Amino acid sequence: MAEPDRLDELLARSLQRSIDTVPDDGFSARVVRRVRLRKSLRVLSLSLATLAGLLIALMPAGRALEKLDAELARILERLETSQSASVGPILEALRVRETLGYLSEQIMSLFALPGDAAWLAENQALVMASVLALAATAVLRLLAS
Amino acid sequence: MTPADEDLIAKVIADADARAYGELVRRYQSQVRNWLRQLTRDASLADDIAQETFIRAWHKLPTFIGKGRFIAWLMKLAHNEFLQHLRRAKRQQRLANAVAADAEVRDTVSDFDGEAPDIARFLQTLSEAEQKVLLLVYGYGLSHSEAGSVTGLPLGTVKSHVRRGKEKIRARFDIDEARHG
Repeated sequence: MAEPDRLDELLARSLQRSIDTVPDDGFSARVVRRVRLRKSLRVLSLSLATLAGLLIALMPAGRALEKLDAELARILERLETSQSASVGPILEALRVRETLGYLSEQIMSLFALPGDAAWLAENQALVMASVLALAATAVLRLLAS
Repeated sequence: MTPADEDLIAKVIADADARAYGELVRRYQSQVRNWLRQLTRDASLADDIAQETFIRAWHKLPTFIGKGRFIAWLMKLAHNEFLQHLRRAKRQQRLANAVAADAEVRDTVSDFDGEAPDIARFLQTLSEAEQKVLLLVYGYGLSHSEAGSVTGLPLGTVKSHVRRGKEKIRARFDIDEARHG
C-alpha cells in the first residue's frame, strides 16, 4: 500500500473535523421504542394467525367429534345394563365434545359470565378453541424466550 | 466494562434484546446521522432516514455476521435507505435546490493558506460520487473496499474517484505530493 502523502493527512484532518458529533437527543430511545413496538406487533399478529389457524383446523375436527359423539351415544343406548356398567364410563370419557362442553361450562362459571353472554354457551367449541390458542401462544412465547 | 459490538450483536440476534440494540444505536447514531445529513443536506429528513435505517438494521442483523465492520454495514444500509427514499419520494427538486446552493460555495472557497485549507467545503464542488467516496474514506475512516460496499461501486471505481478527487483538490490548493516520514 502506498504511504500516505501530505494530502491524505490534510484530507483526513479536514474531513474528520467537518463531521460534527450529532448529539443523541433521544434518537436512540425513539429507535428502541419503535423496535419494541414492532416486536409487540409481531407477537400479536403471530397470536392472531395461530388463533385463526386453530379455528380453521378445528372446524372439521368439531364436525368429526360431533359424529363420534352421536355414534358413541347410540352405542351407549344399545348396551345391556351389565355391559353398560363396565364399558359405559369408558365410552362416556371418549365423548370428547361432551367433555369439552363440560370444561367450557366450568370456565364460564369461573368467570361468572352474565346471561346475555349466552351465545358463548352455545359456542363452547369456539370458547375452547380460543383457550387452546391462547395457551398455545403462551407456550410458543415461553419456548421462544 | 463496555461490551464489544460483537457481544451486543450476538445478544440482539439470540434474544432479540432491544436494550443491547439501543446501546449499538447510541454508539453509531452520530456517524450514521451525519452521513445521511451529508447525503440529504436536510437534518430532519436525514434523521427520518436514519430511524428507518436502524429499524431495518434490527431486522437484518442476522444477515450481518462475519461481514466486516458493523459501521461499514450500517453505512451501506443508510446509503440504500437514502437511495430508496430518493426513488420513493419526489424530493429531487429539493436536492436540486441544494445543489444550486452548492454552486455558490464554489465561488467562496478560500485558498490554501498553509495549515488548514478549506478542503471540506471544496469537496462540495466535486462530483457526487467523488464526494461520497472521499468522505467515507477520509472522514469516516472506511477502507476502499468498505466504501465500495457502502456505495455499491466496484473497488476500481472507488480508487479512481479517490485519485481524481485528490488530483482536483491538489490542483485547487496547490498541494505537493511530498511524503511524510
